[in-house]
Amino acid sequence: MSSNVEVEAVLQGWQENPNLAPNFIFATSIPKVDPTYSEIPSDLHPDLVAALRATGIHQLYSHQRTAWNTAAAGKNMVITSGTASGKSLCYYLPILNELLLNPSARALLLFPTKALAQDQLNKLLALVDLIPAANIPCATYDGDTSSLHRRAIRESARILITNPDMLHLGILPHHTQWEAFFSGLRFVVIDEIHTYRGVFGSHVANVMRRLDRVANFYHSRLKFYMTSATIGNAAELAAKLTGSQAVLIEEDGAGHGEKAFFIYNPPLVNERLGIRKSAIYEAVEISNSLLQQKTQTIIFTITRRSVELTLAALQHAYPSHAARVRGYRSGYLPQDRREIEGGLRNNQVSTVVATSALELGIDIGALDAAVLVGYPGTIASTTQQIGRAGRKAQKSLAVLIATPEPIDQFLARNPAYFLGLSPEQALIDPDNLSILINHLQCAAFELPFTDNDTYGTLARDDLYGLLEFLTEKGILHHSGGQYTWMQSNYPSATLSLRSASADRVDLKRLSGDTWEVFGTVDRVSAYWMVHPEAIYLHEAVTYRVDELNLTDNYAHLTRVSEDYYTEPREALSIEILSRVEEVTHAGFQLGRGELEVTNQVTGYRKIKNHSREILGVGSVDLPAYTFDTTGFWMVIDPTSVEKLRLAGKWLNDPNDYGADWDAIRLAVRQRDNNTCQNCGKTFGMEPLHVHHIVPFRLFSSAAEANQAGNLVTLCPDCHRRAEERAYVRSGLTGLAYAMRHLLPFHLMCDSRDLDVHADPICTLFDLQPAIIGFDSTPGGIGLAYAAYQKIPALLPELLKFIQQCPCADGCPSCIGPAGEEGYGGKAETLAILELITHG
Amino acid sequence: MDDSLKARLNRLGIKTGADEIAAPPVHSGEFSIETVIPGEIIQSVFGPCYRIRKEFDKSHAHGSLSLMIEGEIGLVADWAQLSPAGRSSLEDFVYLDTETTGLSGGAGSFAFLVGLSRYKAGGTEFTQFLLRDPSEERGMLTALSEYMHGAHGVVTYNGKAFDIPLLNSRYVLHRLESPFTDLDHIDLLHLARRMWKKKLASRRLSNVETEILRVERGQDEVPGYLVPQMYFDYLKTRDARPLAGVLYHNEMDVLSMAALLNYFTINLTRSEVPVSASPDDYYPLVSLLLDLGRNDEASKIFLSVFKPAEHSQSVDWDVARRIGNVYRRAADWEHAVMVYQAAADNYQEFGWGELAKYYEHVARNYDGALYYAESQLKYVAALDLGPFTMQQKLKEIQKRIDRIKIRQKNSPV
Repeated sequence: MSSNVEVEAVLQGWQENPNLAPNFIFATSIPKVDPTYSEIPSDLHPDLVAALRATGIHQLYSHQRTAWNTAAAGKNMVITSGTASGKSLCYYLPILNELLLNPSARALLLFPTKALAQDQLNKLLALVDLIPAANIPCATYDGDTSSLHRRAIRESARILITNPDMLHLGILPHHTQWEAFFSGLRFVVIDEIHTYRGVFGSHVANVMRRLDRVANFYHSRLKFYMTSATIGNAAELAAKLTGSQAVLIEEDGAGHGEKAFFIYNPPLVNERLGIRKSAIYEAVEISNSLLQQKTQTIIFTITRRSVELTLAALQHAYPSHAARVRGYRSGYLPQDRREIEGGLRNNQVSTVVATSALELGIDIGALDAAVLVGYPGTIASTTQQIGRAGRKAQKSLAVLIATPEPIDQFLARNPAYFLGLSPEQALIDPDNLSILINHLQCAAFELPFTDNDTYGTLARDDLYGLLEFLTEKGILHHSGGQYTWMQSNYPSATLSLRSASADRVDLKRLSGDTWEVFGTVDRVSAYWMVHPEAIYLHEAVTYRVDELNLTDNYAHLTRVSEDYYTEPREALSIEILSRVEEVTHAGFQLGRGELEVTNQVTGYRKIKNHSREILGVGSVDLPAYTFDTTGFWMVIDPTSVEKLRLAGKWLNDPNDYGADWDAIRLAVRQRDNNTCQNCGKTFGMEPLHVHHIVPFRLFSSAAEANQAGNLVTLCPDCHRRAEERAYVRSGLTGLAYAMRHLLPFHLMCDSRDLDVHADPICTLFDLQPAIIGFDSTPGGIGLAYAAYQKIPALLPELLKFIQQCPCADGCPSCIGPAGEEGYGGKAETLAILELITHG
Repeated sequence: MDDSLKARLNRLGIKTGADEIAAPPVHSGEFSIETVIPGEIIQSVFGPCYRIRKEFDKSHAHGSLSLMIEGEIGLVADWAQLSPAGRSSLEDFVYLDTETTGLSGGAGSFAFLVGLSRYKAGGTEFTQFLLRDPSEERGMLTALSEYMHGAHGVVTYNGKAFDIPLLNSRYVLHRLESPFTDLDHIDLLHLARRMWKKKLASRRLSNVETEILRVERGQDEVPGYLVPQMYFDYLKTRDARPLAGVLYHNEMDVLSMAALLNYFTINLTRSEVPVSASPDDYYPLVSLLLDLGRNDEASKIFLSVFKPAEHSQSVDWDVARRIGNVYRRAADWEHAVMVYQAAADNYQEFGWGELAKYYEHVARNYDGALYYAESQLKYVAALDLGPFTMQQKLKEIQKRIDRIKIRQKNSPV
C-alpha cells in the first residue's frame, strides 16, 4: 500500500511529463471524511458479537447500525453505501441473528453472477465458522452444483446463495422439492440491484413475483434486504423489483481518505477530423509513474479485447515491471482469482487490468489508484469503479481517460456531472407484455391460478385478461375455479432472463469436424449481430459469420484475425399505432405513442479498429422483422425548414465558384436542354439554375466540385427543394446521431436499448423532417417515454456540446464522421438546433 | 378481454404450436369418461374420483408368465434392501405406474392416471384412478392414500426417480400427507439395468417386455410420448374414446411389472444353470450375488458358465477377477489359480499380477513368480497410460521383480 508520499510522487510525475500534463483537463479533490461509528446493538446475539470481535470489529459504521434498526422494525431496506463500506454486514447481522434464535428460519441470497456468489459464500462461511454453536449450513446452488449435493442442500441448507437465473430455472419450477426451505424462508437478499435494469431487470422483477407466490403458498412472509450502487431512484427500483416498499439507507459511515479525481482527454492529432491519440496508449503513459512508485492500481477497460490490448501494451512498454501487471477476467478459475488478489495484498502485483466485471464487488480490497479507459456507460458504474481506489485514511487517485465516443467527449466538457449529480434512473417495466406473458406461464406452472388470485402488483383485470388469453390458446385449462398448465414441456426451460424474446440462435464454430455451440444470442439481436459476413467478438476472440440459418436457429462462425469490425446497415420502416401525447414547441412538435417497427438488415460497413476508417461495404439478404413498441418523435415544422434553407444557403453559397464557372454553367444547361432535370419544365431562353449535387464546399478544389457529373440543371422551385433536402438531411442525421449517443447516458440504459433515426421526408408526418426514437425491446420498457420527457431540456445541452467540439465539419465525437451520408453536416445540425432551441 | 390487449398479444405472436389447426369440436357428455369407459365414481374424503377395476384370476398368463410370485423373494428382497417388515409381506406390496402431463417433472406436471395392482385372495386386483378433470385431483390423491393403507411397499419401474417424486409433489401442492413416505420400494428398472446392461439394447419396459417376458401388446397400445397430448385433447374436446389406448398402455405397464418381478424371483435363485445358458444372462447374476455376500452361490454359478477356452469373448473378466479374489481370500488355491491362469492366458493384467503374488508368497516358486511378474511388466509398459500413472505402476512391479530375484538368489536350490 502506498503512503501519501508515493501518491504525491505519482502526481508530480504526471505534472512533469509534457506529454501528459496539458491533457488533464479537469481536476477535483474530494476531501477526507472520517468514519462515523455506532455501538454494536445491545440486543445482538452474544455469539454474533463475539464473532465480530474475533474479526476485529468492535463497533459498527453508522449505516450498519441504521440497517440493524430498520430490520428490527420489520422493514425492507436498500443500502447504497460505497465500495468496501461493509454493506454485507448490514444484512448478515439481522439474518444471522434471527437464524440463531429461530432454528427453522432460512434465508435466500441472490447475486448477479456465479463468481460473485462463490466469493460471498466464502465470506459468509468465514463468519459463520466463528460461531461454534451455530447450525447454519450455507451453500451455493447453481448450474455447477453436483447432483449428489443438490438433494442435501434442498433439505438442509439454511442460507442458500444463488442467482436469479437459477431461481427462475432450477428452483421455483421444482418448489415442492424445497418444501422445508420455503416453509422457513424469512429473508431474501438481492445484491447490486442497479444491475437489474432494462430487460434483465424486468425479468427479475417477475421472478420475484413468482417467488412471492411460492413463499405465500408455504405461508412465509418475506423481508427483502437489498444493496445498490448510487442511482437516482434506488428506492423506486427496489419497490418495483419486489412489489413492496423499502427504506432507503443512503448514509455512508465508512469514511475515506482524500480522493483526487481527474479527467484526461487524449490530445487531438487531427483537429479537422477530430482524431485523438488512443486512450489505451495514454493509459500506458499514465501508468509510468504508477508503476515506478509501485502504486496499487486497477485499470478498467470497456471490452475484454481492450484488456488484452492494454496488458500487452503495458508489458511491452515496461518489461521490467511485466510480472507486476496482471489481467483479471470473470472467466478465470477461482484459484487464479485468489492468486491475483493475494498478489495485490502482498504487493507482488501492483497493477490489475480488468473489465467492469470487477466492479461487482469481488473482494479484491481497496487500491490506491483507479484508471478508467473510457467512460463505462453510467455514472453509477463510474462511481463504483472510481470507488475501487481509496484506502481508509490514505490519499487515492482516480483518472477517467476519455475516448472519442460522444459521451466521453461530452463528459470531458461537462465534468460537473460527476460532482454529486446523478442523472441516471434505472428503468424497468415488469408489466411489459412480452416479458410478462412468459413469466405468467412459468407462474401458472408453479402454482395454478385460482379465480381469486393475484400476481405482484399487476391489476386484476390485466391478470385475468392474460389468463383468459392463455386459456384460449390452449396453454392453460380453466375448470373448477383454477387455471392449470396444459403443456408437456416446462416454460422456464425456454425462457432466458437476459433477452426480450424467447427464441435463441446458437452460435457454432468448428471443433475438429463437428460444429460445437459456444454461445447464443436472442433471435432479434441475431439479425444485426451475426448477419452473414458480420464480425463477432466473443471472449476477446474475433469471428466472422459464415452462415445464419433462421429456420433451425443457428449461425456458423469461423475464427479470423481481422483488424476491422462490421456495422450493420438497416432499412427501417415505422407505422404509428397510437398517438398518446403531443406538444408543440417553437419550431418543432414533440410526441410519443405506440409504434410498429419493421427492421431489415440490408448490408454492412467494414470499419477499421482504432482509426474508424471505412474499409468497404457489403450487402446481406435477410428477412424483415416486425414488432410493436413505444416511441417518441420530433417533427420540424415548415417555417423552421424554410429558415434552415436560408441559413443553409448562406452557409453553402461561396462567393466564388471558380474562374470558369460561367462557362461551365452554360455547358451544363446546354447539355440538359435548359430543362429542369427534376420536373421537366422548360423555360425557353431563360436560364435555369445549375445545382451541385454534392455541395461545393465539401470538395478540396473547384475543379472537382464542378465536374459535369456533379452538376444538374434545375428550375428555381426544384432547386430550392433540392437545397432544402440536402441541408435538412445532413442536419437531421447529425442531430439524430448526437441524440442516439447521448440519450442512453441520460436514461442509464444500454445504447442498444434505444434506437434513434432521422427521416428528412417522413411519410408519417406529411413529408416533414422528423426524428423518431423507440425502445428496441418489443412492447417498450419506458425508455422512449422517458426520453420524451427529457428532450426539451436536453436540446440546449446538445447545442452547446456540438458547438464546443473542435472538429471542423463533424466527427465521431459529436454528430458523426465527416462524410456520413455524403455530407459533413455540422453546420446544418447547429442550424437546426439553434432554430429549435431559440425559436 | 380488452380488445387492444388482445390485439397486442396477438401481434406479439405467442407461439402455441397448433394455432393453425381448427379447434376440435367439444362434445357435451356424449363421449364422457363415465359413458365410454366402464368404471365408477367413488367418493373420498375430499371429493369424487373415477375408478376402474379389474380382477385377474391366478391362472392368468401375461406373456409367458403368471402375475403371481412363483419363485423365491429372498434375493430380490436383499438386493432391494427391504425392511424386515416389508420382506415378510411382499403380498401386501402394490405395483404402481402413472401417466402424467409432463415427462420432465416440475411442479406443473401431474398424474392424470394412476395404475395399481395388488394381490387378493386367489389372484390379482387391478385398479386405475382417472382424472375426469384436473379439479378432481384432491379426490384422487385421497382415494390413492386410502388405497395404499396397509401396503408395506411399492413396486415400480423407474418410480424412484419419476413416479413417486411426482406424486409426492402433488401431495405437497394439495397440502396432504403422502402415503409413500417410509415405504419400501422395489424399482425394477434398477434391477433390469444390473442384469441386462450387456444383453439388451435398451432396458425400457417395452423392450424388456418383448425380449424377456414375451409379451405382445395389442392394437389399443399408444406410445408413451403421445400420452400427455392425448389427455390435453380430451380436456378440450371431452371425448374420452381415445383415452382407451392410454388406459390399455398403463394396464400393460403395471401387469408387466408383476410378471417381471415373478420372472426375477424364478430366475435369480436358480442354483442349476442350464447347459445351454448364455453367459450374458449369468455373469450379472454372479456379480449381484457377490454384492450380496452370497459367495458360495456366486461361485457355483460362475463355475458353470466360466468357459474361457470356448467362449473367451463372452467372459466378464471383472466378475472373474472378483471371484478369483474370493477364492484367494478363502485360500482355495486350486480355483484361484485356475481363474488367474485363464486370465493371464487371455491377457488380463490381473492374471499375471495375482499369479506372481501367488507363486512368490504361497507356492514359493520364484522362477514362476519371476516369469509372471516380468510378463506383467512387459504388458503394462506397452499400455497407453499417462506418464505419471505409468511410472507408478512400473515402479511397483519392478519392486516385486527385484524382491523376487533376491529371494531367488537366497533360496535353497
